[in-house]
Amino acid sequence: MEMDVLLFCLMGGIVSADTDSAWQSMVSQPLVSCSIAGILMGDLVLGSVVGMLLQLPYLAEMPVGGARVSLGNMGVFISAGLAVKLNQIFPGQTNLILLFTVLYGVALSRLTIPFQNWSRRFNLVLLRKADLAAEHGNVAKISRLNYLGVLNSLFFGILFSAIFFFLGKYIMQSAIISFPFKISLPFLKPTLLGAGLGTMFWLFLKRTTFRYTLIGTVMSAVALLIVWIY
Amino acid sequence: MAILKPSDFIRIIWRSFYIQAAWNSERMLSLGFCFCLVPFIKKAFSKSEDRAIFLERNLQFFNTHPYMASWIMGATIRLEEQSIEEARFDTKQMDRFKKRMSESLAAIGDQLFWGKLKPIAAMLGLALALYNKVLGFCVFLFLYNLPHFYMRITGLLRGYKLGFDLAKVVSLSKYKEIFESLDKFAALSTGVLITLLGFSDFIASFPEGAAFLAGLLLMLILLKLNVSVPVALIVLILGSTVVGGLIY
Repeated sequence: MEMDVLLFCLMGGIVSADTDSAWQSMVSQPLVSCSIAGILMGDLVLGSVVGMLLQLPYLAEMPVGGARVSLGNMGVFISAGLAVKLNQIFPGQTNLILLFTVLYGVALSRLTIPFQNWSRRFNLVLLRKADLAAEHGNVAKISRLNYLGVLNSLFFGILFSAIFFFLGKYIMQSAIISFPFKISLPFLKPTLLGAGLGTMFWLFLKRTTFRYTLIGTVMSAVALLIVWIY
Repeated sequence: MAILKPSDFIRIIWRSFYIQAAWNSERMLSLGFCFCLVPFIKKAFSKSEDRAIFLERNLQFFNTHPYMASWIMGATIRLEEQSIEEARFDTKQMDRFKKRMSESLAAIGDQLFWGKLKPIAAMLGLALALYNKVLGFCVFLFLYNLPHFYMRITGLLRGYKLGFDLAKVVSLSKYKEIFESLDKFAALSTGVLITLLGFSDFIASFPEGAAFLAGLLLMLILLKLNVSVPVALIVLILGSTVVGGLIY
């Protein structure tokens, strides 16, 4: 395995752990993780563009209580890594690569739900063992069991990234070679950015806050105009 | 008498970053909660029988927002210290307090961090990333993690200081004004982002501007119809591809 892909898969472990089992410092958010994927794979700009396109829409799904939501973080991270790698192999096909990888990443995010169930079942096994440790007042074992939960998440992330990176690369290489049309996709990026703002509207737009959106729009337009004039 | 040294508090704060590691649908954060309090258990209970009693009591169902759990940890340490000093302390009252506080803190944490701060930090990070990619994600991490770390650290210390009085200080209604202000700020940030995206390299022509607006409206409609995010995105991606292909 190449060094950049190895580092990418290790980062996948960190993205998985940061998403729900440890730290939760938001390193796993697309804006950050995709930029890091870009740096690791050799193209910060393309990696971060994928992150920018998909950062906001996934904020609509909140991990409140025990809700099982699609983990956009993992899917989007893999799609950013794939986009950069495929762009190095097919330099003139950036738009097509972006279309395929973004679709693949979004589909993968849906696929993480069964994996979450598996992880939760594993944690139940840890809980049973913790009950036994508690009977004997064994605090060292309680610590070990909890750290096993982190390791489980890290291992899942590494494995998931590796499997779906190579699978995606294999499928998309064939698809790009055999794709019959020349495609420009002028609307893909604007539509996804619009979808992100649609999500923000859905979260925050109320009758009482609408004027603040207007103020923000006008203020920043005036600021841009001043910058443009000078 | 205080059992813990400042270094023990640092250990507990460090461990609080792993509170969700063994999250499960049966008892949620209970194992993580006990894990965080291991430095306290080691200092407070020398006999394994006492440790077993503490662990069995605290391995019961427990769920709250992961960042806000440190408030309850602090209060629990204070109350356990009191129960060791006064041998007749009512541990059932302590458990009821823990349950009640966990519900209030979960409601505050979910709204404050998942519902407000995360989208605001993401929007501002995205706005900056339009001009400088690295600065964008650094600002996002900084804006989000400053209150995040603050909450974990002060939560533990204030929870420890307050004990049962935590209930008087922390309530959803006291955060109402903060939530309203954050909502206004989020709406303002949305407006700023609309302009910045509108004038960015991503939207260079009128048809692209129309696609941007169509994406915004369609996403809003799909979310209102309770369509999941991945499905909504796939619909929008395929739609934009087909329409773009027909026009160009």
